[in-house]
Amino acid sequence: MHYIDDITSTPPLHGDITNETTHNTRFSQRFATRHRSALLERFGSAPSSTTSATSNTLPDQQRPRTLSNTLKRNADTAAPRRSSRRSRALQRENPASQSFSSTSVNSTTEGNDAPRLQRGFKKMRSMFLRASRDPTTPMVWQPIPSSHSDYASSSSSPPQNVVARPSSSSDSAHGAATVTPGAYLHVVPQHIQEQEYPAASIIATQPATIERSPSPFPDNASYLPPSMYAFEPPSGGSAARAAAASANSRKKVERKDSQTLVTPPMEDLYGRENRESGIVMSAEHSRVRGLRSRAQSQVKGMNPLEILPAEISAQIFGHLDAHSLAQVAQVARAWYSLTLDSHVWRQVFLKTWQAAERSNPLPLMVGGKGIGSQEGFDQSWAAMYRARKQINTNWSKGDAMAIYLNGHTDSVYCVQFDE
Amino acid sequence: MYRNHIYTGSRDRTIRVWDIRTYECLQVIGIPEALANDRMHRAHPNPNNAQPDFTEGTQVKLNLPGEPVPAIYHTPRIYHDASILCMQLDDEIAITGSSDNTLIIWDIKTWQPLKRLEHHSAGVLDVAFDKEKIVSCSKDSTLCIWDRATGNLLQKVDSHRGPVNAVQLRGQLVISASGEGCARLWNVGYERRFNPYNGQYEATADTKLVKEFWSHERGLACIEFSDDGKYVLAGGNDMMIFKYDALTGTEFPRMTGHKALVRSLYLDEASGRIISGSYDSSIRVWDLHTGEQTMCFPAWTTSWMLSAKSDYRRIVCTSQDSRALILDFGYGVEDAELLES
Repeated sequence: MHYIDDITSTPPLHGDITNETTHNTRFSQRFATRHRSALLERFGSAPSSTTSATSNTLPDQQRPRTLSNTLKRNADTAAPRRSSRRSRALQRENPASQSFSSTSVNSTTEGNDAPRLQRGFKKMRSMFLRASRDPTTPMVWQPIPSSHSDYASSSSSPPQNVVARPSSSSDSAHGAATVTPGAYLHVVPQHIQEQEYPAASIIATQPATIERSPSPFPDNASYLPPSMYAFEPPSGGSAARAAAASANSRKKVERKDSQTLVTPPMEDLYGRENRESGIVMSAEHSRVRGLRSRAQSQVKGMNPLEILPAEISAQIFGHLDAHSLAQVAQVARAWYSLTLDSHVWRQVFLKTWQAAERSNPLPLMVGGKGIGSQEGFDQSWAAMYRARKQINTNWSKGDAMAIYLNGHTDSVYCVQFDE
Repeated sequence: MYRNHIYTGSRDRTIRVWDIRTYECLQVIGIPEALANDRMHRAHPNPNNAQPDFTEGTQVKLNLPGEPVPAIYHTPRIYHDASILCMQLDDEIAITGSSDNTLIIWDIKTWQPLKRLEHHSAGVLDVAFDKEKIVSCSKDSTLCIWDRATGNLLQKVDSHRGPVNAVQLRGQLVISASGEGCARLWNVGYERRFNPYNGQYEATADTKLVKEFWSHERGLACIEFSDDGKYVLAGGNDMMIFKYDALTGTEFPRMTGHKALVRSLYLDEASGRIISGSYDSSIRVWDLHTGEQTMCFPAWTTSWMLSAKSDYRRIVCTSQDSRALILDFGYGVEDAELLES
């Protein structure tokens, strides 16, 4: 089956769903295609082989990316019967989804949809205005591929209505001059509009400001999805928007499925916190939560210095002062053993006691600096720190030992010493 | 450096070298009569120099008359035949100034005299030097700039009106303290140029007065320069310590507390401590930044304090009662020997 092949050729995102009952399969199809649309949006190329094998009527650069599948399917002569049969079956099974997709698609119900279209245009207008305020905001909206398939199979109109990249000359084969109002809105650069969209109805209905607003992607046409009003108006971050839109639509479909079909309730399946993730978890909810909580607890109790080499840890500890280093040594045995590294205490000691040399040439020094010999690397810097600290305490207390040097027989006028 | 020695110069015309750990006298350099004087002193101790009861340390092991001369006594080829008033040393040489109006450059390792510098007409009261030049000051109210390499006199500065008691050197800057109550900051202007006519390097000095710092009303006895040349500390007969900004000449609050002339100053900039020795026989420690007195060691000697120096763990000072005193704050501290250089 073409569609199934098409869909399952993508890597199975959740393998246990695809092999189950029909509605599950259908759901997985829908989800997978929508998910693929998000992937397309994110990575720019479809992971499946169908996209690469699309018709070469349009150059790849100019072709709207997400429409290529639909084009391929509708151009395929073998597919339509099956797909129409399938969509009809789908409509029979799931009238909600039919109404969900027919609003945007059916050309036969065009006249009845006038107020709804008005609403859609209003919504689109606000979106365009919002987008035009920030010209850097990409205005790419993804059509939902499953809706495409529904639309393409259920409606008798050929896909020419949908195709909307008029800049290339080969587009005449698809007859892209007309755009079905409400179905797909095509924003074209102004020069192209003037040349090749003389009588497009969409232009007549849109305010002039919208046409003048520069398209952020002049080479790439932007499309409104058919069920536009089911989405929140995008404002920024196309990938996030697409993901949110697909999640929204998926949620909607899930609810419908859960109402019409005898399935376990989706809320139980996916859980409240899973709705945003965009990945359907088939595992049991409590089990998932248990896994996650365990993972979280592991993250909380993780020793960040475990994954660092000892030299890096020593470097980090060396930036502490002595008091903090003593506190760090009490955190864990591993940390304590790290603080025993003489390099750590060397850094701390020298940072505390090594005076900056502020003159050139150095003044003649009297006495020692009290920072050790600076030659061996195996000095016990922690003990030196303790000794230096004790000496400073003695200084502050005035606690000195007096030693007299007897030998001179008269006044001693001058003294020098070194150490 | 790093020989763990204490060097003292005395009015008894000897230089003595002491071990800083064992407090043992290692060498006596000076007049030939040193041994005899020591024996005389030992046999008839000066009753004026009463030894305190808590005296510690060791004394020179003196042989009785008739025994061979101990090896520590050493009379070099040239020596000072008067009081040794000042001493300065680095890791190559030591320079002493004396009341015999001369300076002697010594090899620090062997204590053999290298050169005698003769120009002053009165006792040499203080000396300072670096790798290029030697600056000495004298009771004849002059400063002399010498070339270290050759020992030649480069310039004689005689603008002081009183005896120049102390001198300090930081790079090209020299500061001198005079008995007239004025400290003067000089730019030495030392230069060493190649002379193409005789193919030798010749040093010149062109000393110019930069700034004057006046004391309260009496003479200055000691001067100290901070390591970066930013502060000038001076002490004298006003019984207080002055602190000046070397750039602007503004004076900081005076450090008062001494009861007599402040004879010596030492600044340990690493710890921010000022050590002062006074004729009131006390050693006081001051904070460089706040100017407050942090410690006072009164009457640890029986007479005037003539000199005081300090490092991270000890104060070494000398007194008129012919003794040197070590105030060791690291005595008995565990692992304190690890800190030694």
